[in-house]
Amino acid sequence: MANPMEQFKIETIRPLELAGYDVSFTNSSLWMTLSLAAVAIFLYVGSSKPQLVPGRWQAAVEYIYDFVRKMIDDNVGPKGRSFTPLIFALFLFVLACNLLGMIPWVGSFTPTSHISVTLGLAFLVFITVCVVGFVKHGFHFFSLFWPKDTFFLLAAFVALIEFLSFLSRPFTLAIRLFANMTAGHVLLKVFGTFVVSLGSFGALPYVLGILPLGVTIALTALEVLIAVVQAYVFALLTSIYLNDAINLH
Amino acid sequence: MDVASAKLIAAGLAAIGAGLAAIGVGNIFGSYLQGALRNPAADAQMGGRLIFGFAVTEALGLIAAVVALALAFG
Repeated sequence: MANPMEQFKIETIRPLELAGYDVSFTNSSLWMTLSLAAVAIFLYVGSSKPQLVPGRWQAAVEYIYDFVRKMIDDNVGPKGRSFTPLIFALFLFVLACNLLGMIPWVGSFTPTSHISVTLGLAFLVFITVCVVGFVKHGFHFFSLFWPKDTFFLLAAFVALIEFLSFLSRPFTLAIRLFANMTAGHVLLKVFGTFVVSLGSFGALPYVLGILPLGVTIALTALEVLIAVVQAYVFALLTSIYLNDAINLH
Repeated sequence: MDVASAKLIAAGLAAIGAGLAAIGVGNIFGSYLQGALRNPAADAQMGGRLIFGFAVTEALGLIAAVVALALAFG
């Protein structure tokens, strides 16, 4: 069986070096650029000629925007509206990366299946949350960790746990997205090898391969669902973390 | 026992965690269905929290799965 981790290999397309660091243009960069282009085209075409009664494309753009806007209103409240562009951009970028990585046969690569990419996005969120919290509340931001009306020793213990859980947020945010994408693609690859190995069974050629092929198609549909759900979860958790920083408790 | 077989056994043991997370995820969706069927009007408000709880629980199972994959193929 071929190694199912081979599909995540980063290949250099154009080697580059900047101040001693390797900044080569790789297949990961290529697919990130393509997702960015897809998002840009989607938004530009949808909003270049706005009409009172939207066409299909404009309606799609407006639907996604309203969806993100409503999520922020539900989770953060009116004070969070100014962060709509950040969360909207994160949502669309992660969604485009996840979905473009699902295209078969064109050698597509999922940038979000690498922890360096997702950890970068997660630290962007984490640093934003910290900066917003300190700018809005100053050192009062630390009251986020302190439970109210609690016995002192217990409160100190809870505060320690809350602080550690706060520090682990960027890692869980990154690992969730990366692990979902990696596990899904590995699963598809493993079932793909079942099609070949069962289909090449001598006495009944091809027949036994039909069942795993069907399962692979069903799993692909599931992976598309997971791609959308994980982009939503990333945006949802970003807005929940921002809610902590903006409204404290 | 050589290191390669020990790694494969460890990968199998690590994969147990993914199964345990499955219990948690099943519990979340089961409780959601119970709540939503008893009070269909509250269904819409539960959606966001459902996905949030699902994501937080599923992440733990996935960490176990990633450990298993890293041991088996890494």
